[in-house]
Order: sequence, then structure tokens, then C-alpha cells
Amino acid sequence: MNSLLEVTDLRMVMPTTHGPTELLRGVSFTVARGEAVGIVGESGSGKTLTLRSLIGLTPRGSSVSGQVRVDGESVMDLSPRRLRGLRREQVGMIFQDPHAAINPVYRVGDFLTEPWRRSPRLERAAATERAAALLARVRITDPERVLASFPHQLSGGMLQRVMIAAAVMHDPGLLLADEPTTALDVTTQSEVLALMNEVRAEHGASLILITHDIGVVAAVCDRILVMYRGRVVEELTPAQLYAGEISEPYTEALLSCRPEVTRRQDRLPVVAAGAFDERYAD
Amino acid sequence: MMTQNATITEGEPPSASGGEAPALRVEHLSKTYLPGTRLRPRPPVVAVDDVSFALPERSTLAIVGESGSGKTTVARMLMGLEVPTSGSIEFQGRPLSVRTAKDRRSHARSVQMVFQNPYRSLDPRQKVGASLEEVLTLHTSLSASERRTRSRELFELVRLDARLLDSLPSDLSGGQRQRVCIARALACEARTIVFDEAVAALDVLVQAQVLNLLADLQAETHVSYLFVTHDLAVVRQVADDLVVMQGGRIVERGVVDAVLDAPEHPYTQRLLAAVPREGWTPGLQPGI
Repeated sequence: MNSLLEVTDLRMVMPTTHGPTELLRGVSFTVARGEAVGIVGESGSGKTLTLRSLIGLTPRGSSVSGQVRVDGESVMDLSPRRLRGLRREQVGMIFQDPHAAINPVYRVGDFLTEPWRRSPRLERAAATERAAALLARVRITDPERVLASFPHQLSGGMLQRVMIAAAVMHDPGLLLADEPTTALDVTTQSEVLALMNEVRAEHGASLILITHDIGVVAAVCDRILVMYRGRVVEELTPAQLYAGEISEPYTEALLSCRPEVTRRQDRLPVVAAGAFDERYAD
Repeated sequence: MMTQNATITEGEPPSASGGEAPALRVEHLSKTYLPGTRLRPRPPVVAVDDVSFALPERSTLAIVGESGSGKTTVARMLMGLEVPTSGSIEFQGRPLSVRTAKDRRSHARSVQMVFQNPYRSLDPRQKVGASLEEVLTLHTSLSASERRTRSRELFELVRLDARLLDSLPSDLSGGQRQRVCIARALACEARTIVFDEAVAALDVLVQAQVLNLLADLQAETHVSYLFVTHDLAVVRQVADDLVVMQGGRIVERGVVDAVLDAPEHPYTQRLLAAVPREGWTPGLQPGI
């Protein structure tokens, strides 16, 4: 078995005031070891819900069916203790806004040494040394300053590096990144993506990358999943994307309505809300 | 150092129609912050350094730069949210003044701003229809029923369902909220609208709709736009002119197509090289 991750017919229903709403409608895909898979789709398509389900983070009140296997283990059947172990050691997460994801009242050093102070119970000095080495991996040249800083004292790009460092702390087999560069400037985005590639290559980790920028996904991933209304509607490679070998009109729409840096379009193609509902109905 | 690409000269843009005052003219604008306290001052920070540009009627100017380039500080000074250290700001030939409430109200009719984060721009306890009508109450003499009608029209303009007027911001998606903010900016028929990264948070399908909508509105109403952004694809699509800022200074300026086809300043070239496209691979840049 070569797949690190297998998702089979993942469904999620959420009770609302208007009756139960299906948020995920049978999502299936696999991720091989070392493979990078991108998920694109508009907001509300279920990208983030899918990603969070992979580590058992499902919204309160939702009912979930289907299967998620990480390294052969069924995530939904794990004990809370095993689930914590999975989140701590096998999967690393990188979020969109590092300033929102990292506790603002602790120093970066506290944030990065906490896991080692607890589970292997390292002395502070030893843990700090490890944290500094970790920051060196994400090419931070002055780890002492960064470790002594509070999150608000660092730029978004710098703090996103800290988050990557935290995510790869236990050399996880799988990295999950949810819009990791959306809040960043283009040149910083380029660096953060390059760093993610680099740390991933060191241990052959797999990656699932969510973004609404199809250009970013195509540059970083081996395979692209296109989601619409809680379902994967197309799966393709970056080469196919750029060669125009696209079979679904929704993918076509996602690609064509982005403005291009090389030319001005007379008008951007527009898709009416719900234009694809019929096509992708059950 | 500044490269002059194409035709814009300071304060005298190419598309200015003969003799008429531009929608906005900024000359030698600077902003220096004095951090620390009076007793324990820290070294001054120059956020904006001698910036000049003009925005002709019915045109769109983009200010491009990364975080720390001073572009948002420029926008905040235009809105009267920051006081310039030196330099002048004129809207339709009249100097910016926000001293009295009356000044601020008339200033609001010349320029409106749409912020980056639609989640923080609306009062979470106020229905979005009420927040629109509030603007109309302040700036027009419409009756209550006329305001209601006008709100519906504004919602139609930004392609929002009028049924959503009674929603709270928390019931709306990010894209819908941002369109409410745009409708609010349009409500008092300001001559200029400043967009501070306002389309960055929208997903591509909504973004395309909003960009088309802004182009239509400009054709219909002669409104001018100032886009503060780092997204060069958006700049290419919507803007006529472009200024590139780095470290508080303008390092390159010109007509959008000219600058993006042949950027002269290394900083502009670096920004352009970092845009993902076919065959692009992310790279680590030396020195950062």
C-alpha cells in the first residue's frame, strides 16, 4: 500500500434552522507518500471542512460518515488520546493567518519549546537549542531574536515561517496547509512556498494545500482537486491544466475568471451564482 | 532613484482632460512617526517620503508595494485618518480638511474607502440594510421610504439580493460582506473610492464580478478609483496608471501596460517575477 492518506465517500451533514444541510457530499481521494495535492474551489465548497476532517476536527453538531485513513489508521475510530498523538506527530498544520493561529501572549520561544518541555520533558536550555535548530531549518538567520519575540513583533512572513517550523517539529508524514500564503505579499509568498517545498523534501512528507489561487497550486502540487459544493468535481495535473485539458466547466470557469498579469481582458468572464448546481446535483 | 516609465509626470497625468482639476492631487506628501514617548523618544520612522501623484476624473490609479512600503499610510492620509507631516492633498482642487464635523461630512462625499477585511468593516449588531440607510441619512435628504428604495438599488448595483438587506453581517459570506461595503461606499456618490486590498479576500468568481462591476460603474458615473494592492494581475485588469512604492518612496510610475510590460526598477521586476504563472517555481530570494 503506497497511499499515505485515503479518503472514501466522506459526507458531512449539519443541522440548521432550514433543516439539515449537506456540507460534504461524498469526497473521495488518495494522497501518496511524498505527493503534493492541491484543493481549489470557491468559499463554501468544503475545502477547509475536508482538510479539518482529516485530523478529526469536525464542527460540533455535524454528523459525518465515510472513511479517512491516515497511514492505514481510521481517523474516525481513534481514541481521543491516539487522535492527539496523530495531530502532534503524524500531521503538521499551517493556517492562513499566523497572527491568529499563534497565541499572542506567549513568546515564540515558549510556543516552539512547549511540546518538548512536556512530552520528552527536556530541560529549558535543551528545548531552546532544539527550537533554534528548527528555526534554522526554515532559514531564520537570527533564531535568538525570533525566539525572544512576541508574535506581534514579527512580520506575517516571518511568523508563517515559525508556523512551518512548528508544523515540521516532529517530522510529520503529512502537512496540511490552508491558504498559507493568502495573507502574504507576492515575494513573501514565493519564499514561504519554497520553504514548504524544502522542509517537505527533507523527509519526503506529503502535502495537501488549499488555496483559491490556482496559479499557486499549479506551481507547487503534483495533482489538483477541484471542489464544488462539497464534492470533488475534477482531478487534474498542472500540465493538463495549462494544456487546457480540462473536462469540467466549473474548472474552466475558475481558471478563466482570474485576471492575468500579462494582459488586460475586456471583461472578465462571470459565472452566475448557482450556475453549476444542476450539473453537480446528486 | 526613480525611473520614469512612459508619460506620467508628477502631478500632471497623461489622461487629465484640459485644465479641469483632477479628482485627487497629492503633492510632496510625507509622514513621519515619532515612536516612544516624549521623555523616552525613539528614532523617527519615515513611513511616506515625498510622494506626489494625481488621479484624473474617471480613471483608476494603482498604488503597488509590499507591506511596509507606505501605501496604506498614503490611503489613510487621503481619508483624513492620519495627518500628513508635510505636503498637500486636494480633492477636485479643494484642499483636504477634516477639522469640523461639517468638513468631514463633505470630505466623505468626495472620497470613500473600502477596507481589506470585510469581517471587521461592518457593525456585527447592525443589519446591513440599516448600515446602508445610515449613510443615506447622513448624506442625502431622502425620505425613509426613498432611502429603502435607494438601498435596494444599491444592492442590485453590487449584485446582491435585496432580501439580504435584513441580514446581519454574520449571515453573509466574505464576498457578500465586501459587496455591502462597496455599496456603502457608493451610497453617498463619492467622486473617488479608495480600495485598500479590498478584492484580495474575495474568491476568484466573486472577484471577477466585483471588478467588472467597478468598471461598469466608472463608465456610468465618472467615479475615480484608487487601488492600494500588491496583486499585479488585478492592477493590470483595472488600473490605467500605476505607482510602485518601496520604503515610503515612489520608485517607478507610469501607464499600467507600459510598466508591467517593461518594468525598469529592480523592485518592480522582483514583484513581477514573484507572480505565479505557468512554469513558475517559488524561490528563496537572497538577503531576506
